Amino acid sequence: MTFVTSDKQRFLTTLVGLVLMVLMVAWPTTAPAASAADKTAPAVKAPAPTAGSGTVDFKVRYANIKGTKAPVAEASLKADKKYKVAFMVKNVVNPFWKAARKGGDDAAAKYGVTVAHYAPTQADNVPEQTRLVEDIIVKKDADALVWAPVDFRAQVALAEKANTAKLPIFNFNSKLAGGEIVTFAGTDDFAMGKGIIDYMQKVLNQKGNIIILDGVPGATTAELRKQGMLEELKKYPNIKVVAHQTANWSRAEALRVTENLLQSQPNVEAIVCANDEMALGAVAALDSAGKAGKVKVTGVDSTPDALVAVKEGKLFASVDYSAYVIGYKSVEFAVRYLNGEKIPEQIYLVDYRIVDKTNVDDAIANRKKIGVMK
Amino acid sequence: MIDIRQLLFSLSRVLALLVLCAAVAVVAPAFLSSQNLVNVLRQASLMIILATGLTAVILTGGIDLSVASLLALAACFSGMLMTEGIPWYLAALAALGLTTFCGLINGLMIAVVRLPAFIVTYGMLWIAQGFAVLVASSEVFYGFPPPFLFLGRGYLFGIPMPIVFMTLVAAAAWTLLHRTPLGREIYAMGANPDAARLSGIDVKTNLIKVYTASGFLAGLAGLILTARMNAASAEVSADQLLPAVAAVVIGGTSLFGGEGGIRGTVVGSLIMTVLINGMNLLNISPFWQLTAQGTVVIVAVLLDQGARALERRGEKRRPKVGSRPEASVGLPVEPTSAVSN
Repeated sequence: MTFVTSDKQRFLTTLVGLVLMVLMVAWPTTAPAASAADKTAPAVKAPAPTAGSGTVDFKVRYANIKGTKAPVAEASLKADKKYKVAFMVKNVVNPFWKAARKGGDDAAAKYGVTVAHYAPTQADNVPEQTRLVEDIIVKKDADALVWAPVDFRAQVALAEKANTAKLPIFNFNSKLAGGEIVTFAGTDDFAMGKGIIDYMQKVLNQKGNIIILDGVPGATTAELRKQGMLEELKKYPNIKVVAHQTANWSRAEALRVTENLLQSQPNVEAIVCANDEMALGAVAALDSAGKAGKVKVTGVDSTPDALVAVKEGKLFASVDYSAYVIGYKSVEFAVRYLNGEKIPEQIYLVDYRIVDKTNVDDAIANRKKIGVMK
Repeated sequence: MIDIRQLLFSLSRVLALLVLCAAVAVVAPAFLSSQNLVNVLRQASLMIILATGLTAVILTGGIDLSVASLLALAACFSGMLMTEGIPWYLAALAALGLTTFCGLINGLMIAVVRLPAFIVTYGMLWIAQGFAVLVASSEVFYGFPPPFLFLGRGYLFGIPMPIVFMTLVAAAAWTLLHRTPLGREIYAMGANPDAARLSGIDVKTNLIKVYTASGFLAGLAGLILTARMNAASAEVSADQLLPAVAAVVIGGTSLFGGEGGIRGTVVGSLIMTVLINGMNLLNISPFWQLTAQGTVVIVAVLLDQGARALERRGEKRRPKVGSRPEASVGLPVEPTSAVSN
């Protein structure tokens, strides 16, 4: 084949490109999106969560605590030495982690230890958090590691490294899928996911179209909340999930995703989000579509501005579980362990409750009391 | 006389966009609703504003990796000032001033100190992100005054404000690049830096101007996004930089400088946005969304390079007088094929 002019050739190559682009857009729709994702799943994810049962296969081991001293009352607890506690969270942008750090700081001040705070500079970045933990291990910079892992499966090897180096892990918020930890403090995210749907089915009278926005794939909290929601939804066949996407915990991304989804799903009654940042992004999208308050948006975390939005009637509800308490408890457990105490409970779960217009004032007062809201 | 083939070719990216739109509309009829089209334009606005600054930078043969972080810095800084009770217009001006200043620093380091643009702006990426995090200190600022929110949520004669800003920015940039000596000098600098310098172009000043403008536009985008969300946090920088660079490249601007233009960038941004919008409308899994975006970028550049290679071969066979910059040693040339798309 001979080409006569260059313009024609450029035109042809562009045409080929068009066809490719069209194929790319059109092709995945030939199979339902969900099944397409399922097919790719075994290739990218190592141990898949047991579907249906709704629980992630946690192979985490709890350390055999050799402490001999009986635990002292919290009021009289003091560190025997000025231990150094490394406090590792997932990012420096979400107010949730700020509350957790405040809890850790308050516990440290009370029990007489020092806390050093760490977080990846890029939010929820697994390699960066891994490097930070490795540094702590190599430099023997801490007596205990209080840690919320970004990826509960990918960072099991890192937990094992810490185990080998005899750095005790006090896992919080996001439970690891393996390795050995001393304690876990968090909430039951699976039960929470179920609880959110149970709450919404009452609000929606067991029928209606809803959108679900998930957190970062690979985060325990995202995974378990999603599974809990889907499990509970089985009971209510008239509640239809018309769209189910991730917005990666991010407000800006949720804004965009919601704007787009509202176009194809104008008759949606509720948007259920796995955290407040995404919920507030959805609220912003509804705001610019003139639908604020008409679509019921729910989030998780009860961050300060989420509570304000609940009070204003823009956000319908937010699940409250205390980041402050799990941060506080993790440092307390570290002190007890390092003191050689027997720890009364190796799994510490805080309750969650749903904050809506009826109890938002109470939640705000509570936040102000512990100093994480002005 | 208008050459039909020339015309068709100059419109090929627009055609690509139209075919993409048609494809999405077939599988997701909601796409064509006027509401959704406005929605697409509004979402493309931020990317176009960021990408406009980047286009000018890339035309000189440089790169500005700091735009997304500057966007976050403007968001957090203006958010903090407003939360402290500073009037919204002063807060907005201060934030714009700050990012413009950061852009100026970029330009000075590159033009005067002569450090590589990649390194300088990469450093600025972290500096600005660091400041944004410091300013926000894990807070989310929220609850801004209505006149400020108007910048992101308001309508002017029925047109959403982000689209108004985007149109103004793109039109100004187009005029600047194609109707002023500065614009021609920018192209010449990218096409052949040495020739440009030898022919008396003030390369230093121009570089400083371009990076400063990029900083200003990043700040503007940050303010608009803050107003749209009615919230500011350091997190907003995520996923802004690379799509903007991709939009410029898909639009046909060469990463080596000297070729391309604003029209291509606008179309490139729209292609990226329509793609994402379509995939959201179709409820496609996030794994596929990322894969599709990445593939589009590579395919677009591949096609562009292939087309350029073919064009060069074609020209050897059938030289057109005055069609290449070499014909007049780079200056002042309206780059033909490059600008036309």
